[in-house]
Parts: sequence; C-alpha cells; structure tokens
Amino acid sequence: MTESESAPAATEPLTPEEELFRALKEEFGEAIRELVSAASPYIVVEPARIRDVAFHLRDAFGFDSLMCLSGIDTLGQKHSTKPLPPGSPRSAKPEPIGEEIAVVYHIGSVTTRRKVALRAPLDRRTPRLPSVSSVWKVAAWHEREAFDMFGIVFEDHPNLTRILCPEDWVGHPLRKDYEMPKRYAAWEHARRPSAAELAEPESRVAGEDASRAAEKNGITTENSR
Amino acid sequence: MRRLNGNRHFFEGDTLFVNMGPQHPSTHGVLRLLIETDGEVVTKAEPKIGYLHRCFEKSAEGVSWEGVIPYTDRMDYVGPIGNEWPYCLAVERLAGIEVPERGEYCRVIAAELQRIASHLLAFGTYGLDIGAITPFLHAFRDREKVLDILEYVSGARLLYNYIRIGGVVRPFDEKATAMIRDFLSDLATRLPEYHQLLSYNNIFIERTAGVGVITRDQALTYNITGPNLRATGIEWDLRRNDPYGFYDRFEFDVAVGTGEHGVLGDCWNRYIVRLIEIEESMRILEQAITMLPTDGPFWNYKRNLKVPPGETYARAESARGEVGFYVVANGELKPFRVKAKSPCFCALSGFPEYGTGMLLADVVATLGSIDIVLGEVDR
Repeated sequence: MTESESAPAATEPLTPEEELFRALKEEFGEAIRELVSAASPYIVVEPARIRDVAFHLRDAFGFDSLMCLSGIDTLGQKHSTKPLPPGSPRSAKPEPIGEEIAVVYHIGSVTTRRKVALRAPLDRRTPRLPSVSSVWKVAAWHEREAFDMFGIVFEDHPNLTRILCPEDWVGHPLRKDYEMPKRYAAWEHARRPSAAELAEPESRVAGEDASRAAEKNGITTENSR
Repeated sequence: MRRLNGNRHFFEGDTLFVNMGPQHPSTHGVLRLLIETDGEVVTKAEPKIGYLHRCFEKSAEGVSWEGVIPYTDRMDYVGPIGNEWPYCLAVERLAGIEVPERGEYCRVIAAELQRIASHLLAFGTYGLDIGAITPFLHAFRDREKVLDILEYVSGARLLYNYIRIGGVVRPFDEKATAMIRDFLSDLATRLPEYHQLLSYNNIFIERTAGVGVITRDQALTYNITGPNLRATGIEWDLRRNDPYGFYDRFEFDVAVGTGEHGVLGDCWNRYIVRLIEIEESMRILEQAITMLPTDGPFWNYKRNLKVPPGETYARAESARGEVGFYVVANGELKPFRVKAKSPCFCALSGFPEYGTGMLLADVVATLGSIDIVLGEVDR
C-alpha cells in the first residue's frame, strides 16, 4: 500500500455509519447501493435482499430492536434529502428525486447503543418486498400499518391485513395521489333517504307516512310508486 | 388464582370466545380484544385496534411545522409533553435551530412534571383495574397539583402545546418554581403512603407478582421500551443512554425492576418501576429548579418557518417509552412526511404472545400494567 492511499483513512476516521456500510458492502456486494448522509444517515438497500441484510444486522452486529418502520411516498417531493456537497455554489439545487414508494427502517441496539437506518426504494405501481417480521417480531404490526397506509405488500407476512383503517376501506390514505373520499365508501350501497324523508323529518320513522306526505307535496318517491 | 395455574386440568373445558371491548373500562381507551379461552386459560388473544384512528400523519402533511405540535399532544393525551419534545427535536435538527439554555431547562422541568403526572395516573388506574378504588382518589389529588402548575405556565390543563420549535412558549417563573417546591415536598410525604396503600399490600402483591411476565427477549424483539423494558432488568433509558436536551447535566438513577416480589418483567415489577421513576423525576426537578436561569431568552422563535430538505429520526423518553418521529422536509412551510413511532403500539403488538397462557382475569391486570394509551396506539 502506498502512502497516498492510506493517508485519508488516517486523517479522517470512519463514522460508525461508514464502517457499517463497508462491512455490509463486503457481505452483500451490489445489494447495498449507497450511503446517504442526511441529518440521520441511511443506507439504500436492494429491496429483494432486505430480509437477509436485516438478519445479518441482528445476528452479526447485535441490532436487537427495530425502532421504527415507515412507508414513504416521494410523489411530489421535489428534492432528494441528500445534502449538497460542501463548497457547491449558492445557486446549486438539490438533485431531483424519482417517484417511488420506499420503506425506511430505523434500527437500534440496546446492547451496543448503535443506530442505523435502511431504505428500500420500491416501484410505485407494484410495491413489494420481503417481510422482516421473522427478524424482529414488532415489524408485523408496523408492516400491516405500511400496507394499510401505502399498499406496500410484504411477502411472507403472517397476517397482512389492514390495521388502523376499517377492513372495507378503499385506497391507501398516505399515498400522495390519494383522493379524500366525500363519503365512506361502504355506505355507497346503503339506501339514500328519499326527498320527502329529507323534507319532513317527523315522517322519517314511518315509511307510509312519508309517502303520504310526499303525495300531498306532489313528490314521487320510491314508496309511493 | 395464580396458584392454580399449575393445575391446568382444573380449568380445562370447552373453548369459549370472549369479545372484550371496544368499550371496556379497563382497556384504557377503545381497544377490542378477541380472546379464546379453554376454561379459564387464554389460548389466543388478538388485539383489534384503530377505533381511535384519526390519521394524524395525514393531517400533519397539511399544516405548518408549528401546527403539528397540537396534533402530537392528542396522541398520548395523558403525557403530551413527551410527544411534543421528540417532534421538536426532529424539526430543530433539520432546520438547525438552537434552543436557548433557559428553554432547555424549562423543557426538562415540564417533561419531568408530566412524567410524574402520567405515572400517578398509571398508579391510580392500575389500582382501579384490579379492584382497589382508594389509590385512584389519592393519585388524582396529587396529579391535580401538577396540572395546576402546567396550567399556570401553558394555559391548558391537559393538552399543553407547551414545547415549541426552538424553545418553550412561556418559562417557569418564580411563582411556578414555588408551586413546584410545594408540590415536591407534598409528594415526598405521600409516596410512603402509596407504598403502604398498594405497593407492599399483600393482596396487591398476590394479584400482580408473577403475573403477565414479559421476558427480556420478548421485550427486545417487540421493541417494548420505557418502564416495561426496565422492569425486565435492562437498564435502558434514553435520558441516560442517548441523552437529548440537558439530561446529561442531572444526577439521577435509571429505575429498573427490583425483583423484590415476583419475577423480573411481571406486573408488580412494571408497577414498581413507575413508582421509583416518580422519585427519580423528583430528584431531577429539584436540581432543575435550582439550575433554571431566571432571565434570558427561552424561545428562539422563527416566523413562517421553512425547513430545508432533509430527513431525520428523533426520539425521546416519554412516560410510556421511546416516542420517535421520522420527519421528512421538502423545503416548504409544511412537513412532507411525519411518521410517529408509538411505544404503546409496539407493546400491544406483543400481546398475542405474552397474553397467551394466562388466566382470563389476569388479562386485565396485564393490560393495566403495560399502561397503554389507545390515543397513541391508533394515532
């Protein structure tokens, strides 16, 4: 090894994240894509390998707890959260970000007190990746929530059903292209009150009275027909 | 009843399905438990949640950075300061806002008062859950004083909106510190009463020791934090292990399960950790009110705050464990994504595992001892 190669390592010690990133890169190669140094740095991982990486982090590095698992939809997010390189001009804009749905894992360790974040970017149309509920059991509920809110499908999940929204809810509310429904979709099939029922609140109870009242007012209702 | 646990055949009979909740007084909110029992023994327990779901995360995407704080209050409505703090930590980290020294001390004081109030509530309602009515009245008498102090500084009795981005909304002044001194000297005489009344009461010990054990491994894999984790004997407190604010300036011990009665990780140990934490919070408060500067800025207020693009995860120790906020900023006046990690959500997710195999009557004792607030589970 020449002096010029070893010099940077000596002057700038690796941050814990860089160290971990190198170790993972050695183990998984291309599946570990990059290390992004945001306010909380994160490692971008190939979604299909996420469970293997998670198992490795738990067993080889002692990351015993999954602190948080979040879905995120980047539709409409103008910029990447990557900081600009130091010394870039004031007019420089952060790089644009693709439209993707991603899963972000915040992992911690009670024994070594380390923290790390992983990010698995997914295709917006068919977001699918392996479940990590066999690594940390708490992931089962977090993943159900991500499925509920973003429609992300976790393979090999013990019970992938909606958790916070009702079972008959339509759509995934936290997606950026979600349209707020005007009414609860399950009620669409319920009978609407007739015009006469709305006009005379007292007659709502008895249907016959309602139709009589409607005839008096010259309104045709379902009952009077 | 616990002693009969060994003779399981005694209870063997037909399978019975019990639908507990959603409106059950001992579920601390609106929680539905689907329980399958074999005689008296629970063979399957499944929590159904979502009855209090308000989609906080969706609402947060539509309001200003400051406007999210009242929403975080409404997650854990008996300990709101514990939710406001991690959210503000996350935003301050992204926006690079410094909190003035006086503001930091006020935050510690408010958070510790809140922790005492929340643990007093847990103490009182836990008594109620297992059939002791008196502790509840005592606990609420003392909790009232904390609410008075927090009302004096923030103007609200329950949902304070006190910790703001860059500081606090109003500092603790001389009158407030005098109120705190009064309260602390009062509470010091009450705690022995509480121990006499409940902690070392034989009936209570019989009812809770050895019941609803959560093992260390279960606590870690389900990411159960706060007093419930410390009851298993693991010394893990974010105030000590990942200090935020000024917690590294105070002298206090991390309360862990004593194992004096029952086994580590059971209902009694979870209960006693909370009472020890009240004492530790009193220690922190005593130090904080002497160190609190009497003048100087307390709020580094930014009008129309725009947070530069970035993302971070901030966490803090609330009365119920680790509350975390994953916040993504897009350089706008409002957040792009806010995800709240709730300690009760994680603790409850393990219920099918640690709730199976216990007696039906112990389900209520166990649920009460993990001290869940459904407003935080459902968000």
